[in-house]
Amino acid sequence: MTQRVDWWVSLLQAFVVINIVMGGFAYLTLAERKVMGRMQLRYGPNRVGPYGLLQPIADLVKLLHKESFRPAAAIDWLYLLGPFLAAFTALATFSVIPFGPGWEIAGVYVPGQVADLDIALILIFAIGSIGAYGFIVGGWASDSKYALLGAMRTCAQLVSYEVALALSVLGVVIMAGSLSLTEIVAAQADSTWYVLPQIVGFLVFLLAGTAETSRAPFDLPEAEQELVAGYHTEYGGMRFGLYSMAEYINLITLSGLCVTLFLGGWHGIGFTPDWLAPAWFVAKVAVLLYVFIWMRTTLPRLRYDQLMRFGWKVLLPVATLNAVVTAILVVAL
Amino acid sequence: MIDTPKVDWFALGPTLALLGASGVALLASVLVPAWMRKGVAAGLAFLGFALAAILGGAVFAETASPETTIAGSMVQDRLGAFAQVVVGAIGAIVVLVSWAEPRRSHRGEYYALLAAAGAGMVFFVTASNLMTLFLGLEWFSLCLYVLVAYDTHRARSLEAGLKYLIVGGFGSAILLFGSALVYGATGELGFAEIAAAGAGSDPFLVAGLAMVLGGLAFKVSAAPFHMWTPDVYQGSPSSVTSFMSAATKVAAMLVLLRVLTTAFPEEREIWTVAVAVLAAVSLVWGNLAAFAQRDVKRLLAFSSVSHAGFMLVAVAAGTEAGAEALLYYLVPYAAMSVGAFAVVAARERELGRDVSLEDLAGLGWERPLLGLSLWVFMLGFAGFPLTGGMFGKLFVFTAAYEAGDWWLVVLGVLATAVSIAYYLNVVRWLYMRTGADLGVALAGGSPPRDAALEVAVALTVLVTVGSFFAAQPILDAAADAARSLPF
Amino acid sequence: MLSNWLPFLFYALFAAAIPASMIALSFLLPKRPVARTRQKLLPFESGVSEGPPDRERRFTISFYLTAILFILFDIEVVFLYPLAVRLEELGWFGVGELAVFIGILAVAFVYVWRKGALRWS
Repeated sequence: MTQRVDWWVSLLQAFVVINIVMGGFAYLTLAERKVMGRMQLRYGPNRVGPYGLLQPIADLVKLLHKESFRPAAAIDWLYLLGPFLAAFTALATFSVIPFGPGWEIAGVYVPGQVADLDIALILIFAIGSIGAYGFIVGGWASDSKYALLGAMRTCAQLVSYEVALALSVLGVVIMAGSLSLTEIVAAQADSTWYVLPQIVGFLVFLLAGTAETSRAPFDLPEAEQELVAGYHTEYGGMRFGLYSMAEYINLITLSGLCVTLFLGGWHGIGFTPDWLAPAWFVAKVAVLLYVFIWMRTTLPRLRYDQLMRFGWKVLLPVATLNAVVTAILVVAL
Repeated sequence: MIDTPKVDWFALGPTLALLGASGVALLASVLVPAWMRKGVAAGLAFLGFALAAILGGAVFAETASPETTIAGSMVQDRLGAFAQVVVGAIGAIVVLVSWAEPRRSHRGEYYALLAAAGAGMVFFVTASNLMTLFLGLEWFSLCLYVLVAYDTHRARSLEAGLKYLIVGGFGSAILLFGSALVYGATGELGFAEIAAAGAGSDPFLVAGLAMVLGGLAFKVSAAPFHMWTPDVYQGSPSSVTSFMSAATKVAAMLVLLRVLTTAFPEEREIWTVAVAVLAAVSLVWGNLAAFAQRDVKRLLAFSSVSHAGFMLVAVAAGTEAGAEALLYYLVPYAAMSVGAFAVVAARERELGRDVSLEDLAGLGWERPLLGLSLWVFMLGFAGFPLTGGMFGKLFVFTAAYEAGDWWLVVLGVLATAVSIAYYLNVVRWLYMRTGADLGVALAGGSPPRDAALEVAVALTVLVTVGSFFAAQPILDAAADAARSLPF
Repeated sequence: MLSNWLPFLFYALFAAAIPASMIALSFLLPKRPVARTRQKLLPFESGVSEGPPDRERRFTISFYLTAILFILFDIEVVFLYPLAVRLEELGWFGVGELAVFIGILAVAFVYVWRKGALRWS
């Protein structure tokens, strides 16, 4: 079934996709500030370029030119490895998310995703787990007690919600009978979007995902109004920027994953011509991203004990129950 | 459809009974009101062990010839069932021994862990491939690591737990590595399949055999793999020591016998020699070191090493008569071991410190039942008549002589003669000295009544003496069990 | 198939190159500060310096408990995924396995919950 893909096509596609993701990240920051501005009856950034459209580029230039100093006692290479790991793992996961059915362009086959792997779902979680090292290594190597405390806090949070996140998609895996994202999308086209039968799993996934990406109301790692920043206290300039970038890209990947697992992937409502598939995918991701921004402006932040309680005592049992019920129903029906 | 293995619930019965008891006891230790946690958990653990023994007996009665179940991962036979009955009985008695153990917290969890360890053991003895062998071993070992370190306020208990964890982990790793080598040489995991693969004297297979043997020797505490034994037996709570010394030895000995005879029948010439060497070293070292001990638990620990030697003499025979002798030997040994440590536990609770030989002074007069029992156990360990210990040694030596290991017989008789000295030394302290003679501070007041422990000790005395007078039924059962091994 | 991983390798190389180049640029682009003053080399302390911070600091036991529980439940997930993929073919046998596995974990979970290991306040 899978067609052979020439290596140069893959190389080219990888280059294009990663740049689109980077562009998406840049404009997501702008979109967030704009939407938040409007929701709070402000304008949001509107000075750089028409409607503030050049703002992300200005931000990038500014961050790159900032003076980069660090505490004298920080551990050099670990201090730099932290943000690198965080950004690398965030970027790498998007490669397996399918955004189209695959196309034949001028006799060359272009696949609908960068890498079509049998174990794509496990790969995403595996790389995501490595991402936690980025935070703890950076916080530990900074040699500052606030950074260290922040790193512990962040890790405990990530680790707690990772379990719920991984369990919440178990229902989808049971229904589709596969860990390959392309096959999960195909299975949804055959039956129905899994958001309907797996509504519980979808909600758990969305909540745990919000916590995994440290978004409000679970943004304890930053909590800029209440605590000294967190694991990135001692970071400045583009090194800080990398952490921030990791967070936004994780959010994009997570939305993409959510669309793939629960919202039918690149399939539209009704018949979708092949060339329109990426548009559907992007549209669905955009809606989810909007929901995330909306949540940030609406909901107050949780306390840390509430956060941990919610993850362990609510999401984990619910996700497990959902998996068991799904298993029983799938076998019974 | 994927082929699913048939699950034989009957064969799994003893394991499930204990696992269920463990789970419910764990829940009870947080869900029921605090004052009845210990009672509920102990009751559940007792029921679990008793049920496991009964179900094991049922399996013994129903199973005429061995058959493998659950995709060849475990075997249902009389050898395993025999061990399940013995382990179940040991566990039930140990619950009684543990009852009055002074403990400030985690009273319920103790019994849950005990039952879980028992579940691991009754599963371990039915293992019939290298995977379930390792699973069972780790299952009960992990529970024991925690139990050994259970008295968290005593530094010695923590030390023992850490030592046991590290050395035991080392032993498990050796076993695992050996299993990997055996698998590499034969491409098979099941014991019978390994034998059928006929890898001959492939160096990998022989190296694997040696490492599997070494890994199991850690668990039966045969010298020179015994280094952890004295420290761990001394440091852990006495009730745990009584469980470990009896149940672990029974389970590990039988599995050792099973692995060697079913998986490596072709290599018999190799392993009989290796086991004979282990037996000889254990006999010599265990007995010599026991002489130097002042602490009663350490003394019993070295005695347990020397008894591992006697048992290995039976294994080294490599015959059905040897297997029979080993199975018989285990019954009185387990009873004496549990009982002896129970008496030490009673003295320990009275004095509130580790019991040295001096601390036994006068116990025989102050507490007649316990003193008399300890006397019986010491005579039994030494192999005197009127205790099962005598027949045990007799059968072992007979089997070894028939197999041509006359030098082991000579060594065994010498070891027995030497051991009488230190066993009777214990009796001397019990009766021929009083605390007043020595100027040792007495515990003061009347000793705490501990009916459960006294019942347990009485039961073990009953088995110790009973196995002398009723030797034939036990021997018949042992013969039935031994017949399920291919000789 | 291992060849499926080639595109992933390409992508991962780009994903590594982007942050690596950004870190490199953060050394090259900024103008060197004229003086690395003592204040700039100190970790953030809100004006109160307590000397060198210790990395062997001990944390609340809750962090360690969370880490242990995470391992427990993450292993659960690792075992459940392969089962989930084949669950439909395995039928009721698979559901039984799932129930036993989750049942044992549930006992531990209830214990941990009641014991207060999940309490943070």
